[in-house]
Amino acid sequence: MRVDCALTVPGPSAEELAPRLPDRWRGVFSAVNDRRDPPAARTDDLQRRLDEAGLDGAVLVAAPSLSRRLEHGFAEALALATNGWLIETYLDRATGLRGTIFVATIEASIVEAEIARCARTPFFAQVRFPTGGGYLAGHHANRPLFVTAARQGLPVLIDSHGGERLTGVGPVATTLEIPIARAHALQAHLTSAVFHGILPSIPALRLIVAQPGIQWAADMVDRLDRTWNLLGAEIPEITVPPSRQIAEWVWWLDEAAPGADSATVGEIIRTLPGSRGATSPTRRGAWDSVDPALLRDLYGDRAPTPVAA
Amino acid sequence: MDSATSPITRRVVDCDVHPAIPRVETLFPYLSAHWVEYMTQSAFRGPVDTSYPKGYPNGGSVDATVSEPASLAGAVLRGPDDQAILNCLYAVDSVHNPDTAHALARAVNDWVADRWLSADARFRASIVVNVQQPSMASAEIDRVAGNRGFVQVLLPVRTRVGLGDPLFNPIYEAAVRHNLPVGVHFGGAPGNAMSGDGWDDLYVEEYAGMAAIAQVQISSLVGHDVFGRFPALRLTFLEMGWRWVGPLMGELDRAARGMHRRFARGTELPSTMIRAHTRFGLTPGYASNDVVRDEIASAGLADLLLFTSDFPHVHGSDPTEVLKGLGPARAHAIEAANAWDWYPRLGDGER
Repeated sequence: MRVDCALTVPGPSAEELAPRLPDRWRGVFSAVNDRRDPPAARTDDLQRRLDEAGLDGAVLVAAPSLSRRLEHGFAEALALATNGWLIETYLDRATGLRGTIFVATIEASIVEAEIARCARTPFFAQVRFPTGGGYLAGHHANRPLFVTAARQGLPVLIDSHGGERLTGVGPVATTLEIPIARAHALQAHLTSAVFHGILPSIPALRLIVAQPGIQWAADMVDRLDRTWNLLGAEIPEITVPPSRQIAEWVWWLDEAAPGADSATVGEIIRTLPGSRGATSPTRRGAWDSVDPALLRDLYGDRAPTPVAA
Repeated sequence: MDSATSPITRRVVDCDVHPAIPRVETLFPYLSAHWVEYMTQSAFRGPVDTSYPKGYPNGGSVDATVSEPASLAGAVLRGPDDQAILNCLYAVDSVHNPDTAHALARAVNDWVADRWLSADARFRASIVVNVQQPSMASAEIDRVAGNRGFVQVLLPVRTRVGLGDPLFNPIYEAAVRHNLPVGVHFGGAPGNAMSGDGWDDLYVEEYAGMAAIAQVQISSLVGHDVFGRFPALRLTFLEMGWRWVGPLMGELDRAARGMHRRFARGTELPSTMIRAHTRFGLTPGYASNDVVRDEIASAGLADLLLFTSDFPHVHGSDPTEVLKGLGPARAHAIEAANAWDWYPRLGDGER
């Protein structure tokens, strides 16, 4: 079975989302949403992509392309509207497809309510971490999202959406810098999560890393271990070595290595600590043959199944 | 033949050694009366933003050893032909008054020339400049580059904008004008967060994350085609690891190949530019010595590495141990030959 665990589809346009937004927020969404027009043929295009890639199933990721951070009231309305739109536009039209819950804020009450609401439906398999929110993953402000996702049995997908805009040395200025900026953002989030102990403190949490290339990962994991060994006195409460944290709680997606062939990606993933010690030879989840048991391990009974219109 | 017994080389060039300025008053003889009065009356204690917080083991023992030329030479130079490049990490970039920062940079360089370069002919040094003010930095490079003991310009890796930005052209122009590499070192105090996605709040995040900043900086240099603008420019990345260089080159090559020509402005692949224009300090390797040696051999990076003890800083491993078992040719390249190629002024017998 071939499954893409983070298949990105174009986010909703203002026109598509308007009926789902209160009057108060329609104009605001038009102003901050970068997508102006809906694609001509959404579901046809999705089917074509599935066929071309030889995919049996997919977990869709769709998010508005936003040009700025959002106030809480708008974020609440936007998540409600976007997740409803995803169900109506894609998930309710074919069996087997699953979706990724979109949240646009880390405000606890909003996140908890939206994840719980979506988890009551059969459509969603994971939660997307709202990168670009101003807080790295390990910050305590993000804890409600991780706790709620774990409580609902949903993995958290972390990608680099927005990471290409700003780096630790200012705004990205050229196109060539984008993939490296995304990888930089992901490294910062993973480092933060590991050194703040988010992963061991929520044993049921599963973190899925997607999108920005994973070639950097092996070096980063060694670097985190070395840092922990050398400077661990700063964080005595972190007793699980970083490489073990990543082995236990982090899943890497094949899609994270754009352009690399499957064998290369498999080799990269096998060099990661999680794979070295895992009972499964790899923990890969996308764009390749996936053992259904591995999918069930990741998603439980929310795992995507072969898509049928 | 085991490299430990190889006759090829026992001469070492240590490209990253850190003398320390014990207190700001040390610089007073090199500051004008105006700045001495300014600093005295304002109780200025020197730049306080440090990338090596007091008490953290990576900073090592900052004692008299790093303030006295003879003791530092005894610690890092093992033979009469060994050499060491002194990189004084005085955080002038953290001083917000540009005139003060510039005056401090000048004073540091004069102190280095007077106190260190004249004390031991085996010492070389990097020129300290305020990266926040490139035109002032350029003037300072021109002022002191006549002293052949200065072999490099020193910048922190953390900056307000990427190093590819034309803002930094005056620094690169001056470096090229004097045939000096630009060292880019762990640390910096630009005033912005380590990540565009929020502030880190632990030092371990900063320490582990500096390598990712270096990766972004190289992508900025390549993306802005800085090496096309300055074909003679050379940059040395220090104290941020190097095992990420191979993956970075692969990722940038892939991105460049997939781009329309107007986005990928350089005519060469990024990996070709990086191999030609950058070198990397050996320390820290962020892995066991066996892993580091394997990667030097398998990734074809031996030509890009320079021996660095990073004294007095500590990273949990001894870089001299890495060289053992590498094989004589690779060991010789890393501990001396690469540096001789990279720093033309190392060969100056008389300064």
